[in-house]
Amino acid sequence: MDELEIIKGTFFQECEELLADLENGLLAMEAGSGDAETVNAVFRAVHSIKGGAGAFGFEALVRFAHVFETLMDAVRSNKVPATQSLAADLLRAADILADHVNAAQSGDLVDEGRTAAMAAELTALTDPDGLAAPADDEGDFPDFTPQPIAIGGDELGDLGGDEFGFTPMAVALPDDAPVADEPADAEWEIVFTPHASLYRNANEPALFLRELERLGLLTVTLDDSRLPALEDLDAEGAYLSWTARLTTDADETTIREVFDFVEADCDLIIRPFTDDLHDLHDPDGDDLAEAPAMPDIAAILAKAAAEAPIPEMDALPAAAGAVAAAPAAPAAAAAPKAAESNQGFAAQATIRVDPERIDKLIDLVGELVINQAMLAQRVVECGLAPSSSVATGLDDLEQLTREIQESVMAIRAQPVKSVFQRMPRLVRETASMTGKQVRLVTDGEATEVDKTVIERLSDPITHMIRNAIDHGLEAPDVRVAAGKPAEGVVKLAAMHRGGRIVIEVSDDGAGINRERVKAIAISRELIGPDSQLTDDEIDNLIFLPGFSTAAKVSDVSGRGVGMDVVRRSIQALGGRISIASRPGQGSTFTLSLPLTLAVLDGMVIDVAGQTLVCPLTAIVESLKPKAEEIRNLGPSGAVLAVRGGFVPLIDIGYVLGFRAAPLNAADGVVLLIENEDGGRAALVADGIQGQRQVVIKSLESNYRQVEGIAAATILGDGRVALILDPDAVVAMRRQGGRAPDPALIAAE
Amino acid sequence: MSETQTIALPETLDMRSAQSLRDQLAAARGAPATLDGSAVRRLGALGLQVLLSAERQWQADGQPLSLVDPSPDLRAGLKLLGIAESQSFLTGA
Repeated sequence: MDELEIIKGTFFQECEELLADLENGLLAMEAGSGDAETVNAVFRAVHSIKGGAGAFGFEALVRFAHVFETLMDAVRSNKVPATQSLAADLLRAADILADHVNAAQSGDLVDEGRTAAMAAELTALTDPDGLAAPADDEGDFPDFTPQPIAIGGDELGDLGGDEFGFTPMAVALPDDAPVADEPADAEWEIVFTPHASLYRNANEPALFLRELERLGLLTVTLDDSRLPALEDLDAEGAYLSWTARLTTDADETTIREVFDFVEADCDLIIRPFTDDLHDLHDPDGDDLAEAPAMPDIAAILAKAAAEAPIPEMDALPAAAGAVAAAPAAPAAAAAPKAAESNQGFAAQATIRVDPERIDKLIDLVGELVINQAMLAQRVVECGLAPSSSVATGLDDLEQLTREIQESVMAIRAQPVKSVFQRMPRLVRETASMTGKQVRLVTDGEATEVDKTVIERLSDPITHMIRNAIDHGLEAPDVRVAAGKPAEGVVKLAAMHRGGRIVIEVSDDGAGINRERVKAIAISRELIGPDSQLTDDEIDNLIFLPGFSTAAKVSDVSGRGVGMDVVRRSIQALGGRISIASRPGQGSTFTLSLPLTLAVLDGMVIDVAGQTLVCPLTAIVESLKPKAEEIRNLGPSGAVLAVRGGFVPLIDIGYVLGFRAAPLNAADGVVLLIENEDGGRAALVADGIQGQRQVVIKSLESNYRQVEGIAAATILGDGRVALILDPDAVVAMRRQGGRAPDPALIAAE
Repeated sequence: MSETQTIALPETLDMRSAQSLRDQLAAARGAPATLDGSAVRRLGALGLQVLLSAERQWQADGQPLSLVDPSPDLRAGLKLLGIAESQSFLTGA
């Protein structure tokens, strides 16, 4: 059942998008900026999740989504006012809906108690008077209105008595109530012919019919005239067509919404029904061309009408005549609108592509870049003049290759929105857990970055936001006492800066309590008791392993994961994180990351006969040291005097085990690198070949992780070169105890 | 002479089981058959398609085909999918 799994995967992807739409819509409603279209969008999102979930038999999800949908339906038709407090309740419901989707995906259990409580809350919001008390405006027609309801309700019950553990009455009652004032329910004819693609996408006609049934009184006729005998049957082919006759007060748009998202996968005709069969044969009726099976259906309909008169028709004597004329006008009016929205859809048409295909393409373009570099090198080796036509042709090829690479990377680039939109929920939950009032402000959601980076942004951002709320923001009473608004603001922003993406998480809280941070660092022996540190250095102490300022381990950020883990994961991506804090005004965490993990600007160096690549971002400068700048320290250690300070000299070849004794720095070149806390080290190499953009090949997936090495690449001459992880090299040296301790240097 | 075979319809009679049911029924051709609908919990369009297609096949082969003991869910599904107005062995269900 692999195919089904794939379709299911698509469904969950769609759910993710729909949940995001849902949340965005609800946030807009909460902010008071939502209009009728927002409410509709929210309804559609819930509706679509429910529809898909039904196709896969996720019953708990369907049940909850249904209660949610029912309430949204009532909001949509203005029976329940769309207040901001309602939006807040709906946001909590959306969180639970998301839990259900996750549970359906992972097979985990959901919190039944929470679901039931929320479902009860939603039901109460839908119908504040309770199911037993009919709405007042129905009082005048006690005998009339229940008729169609009973039928609709019955069939639902028959179908899904155990799927839906609640009564559908709540929906039907208010829906039918306005009948009292309005002329009559209209009668519609819906001809629905699925294509095979509809089934392939795991849509089920029975569900659409069931949805139609909810709108009113439904009679369904099946056309199986195209169905072959078993021997010629493609079990997944589409041979059936349905004609449904629906008596409802719903308009065409509402009916059409039932078929939302499958309109491309079926032939669909929705038109006012008339039992004057001559109309169907009207020569100027364009519909006939669209529906070749029409005459058959007409015959069946005629038979159906004759054999099975519908009781409600008696109650609506005017229907036959009135309906023929009346709905035609709105239908005509709706037509241009539909065309318009179709055009809009076409303009923004997107395709779904399996990410693996793009990854493959990116790999191939990487190979192309390498191949192009190799070719260029061969040309140089052949001794061809740079002005020769071959060389200039290669330059053009290089240009093209770069452009292709950029375009391909752009395919995989995604706005950070997908990460940012998960944060409002996190903020709500963290706020309620800590008893703080928080407003999240986001900026730069459209900033694009490679998908490989996006996937790994979520955890650090989550942690930083939790941290900002738990440790950064003060409790409401403390804030008020300090003359600030009770509600704290956490700002999450993304921007492009210098070919990197920068994410900022800032809060308007109390800022870092430097005295406390320092005291803790001393008590944990992270720094010496008499260390003289600048404010900046103190702030950066929170990134040290084993540091946690929370006096008590809180539920929220005290999960044994400190900022050191965040920093490490950022560094693993070739990024940096820093903090700026102002007492009383708040803190800002800034993290910067490369836009992609696929290519890297590096310095190609020679080390003990090997070719290595050092990421350019880590290098502050490269220099050729003079003998008098090098001071030996201890038996094998040495430091380099640079601009009045000293930095430890670390021979890369020695640390990585390429040679038994460290190279004298005076015989090689030095790459001065700076790590996150501002600490510097001088890496010693034999020589520098030059700067080059290299394509990153993962060592972990092709071989295994190697300490001190971040990844590998293939150079122009076809050789594999390892990409250094400078911070890890420094750490290895430190652990080996061979290099002088940087703290010692600082004290000197 | 062949005997009437009884074929139990699957619990989920939709796109998930359409192919296997088609194959199962195709293998049973040429003899009278009875379909046991007591276990069916869910009927989808593709499931219905196989049943109706089987009916044509059995008719073409001149063999009787019947449905026995349809579950309430199967009955409701048939009704929803509009089988009531068709001339089918499923109609009486």
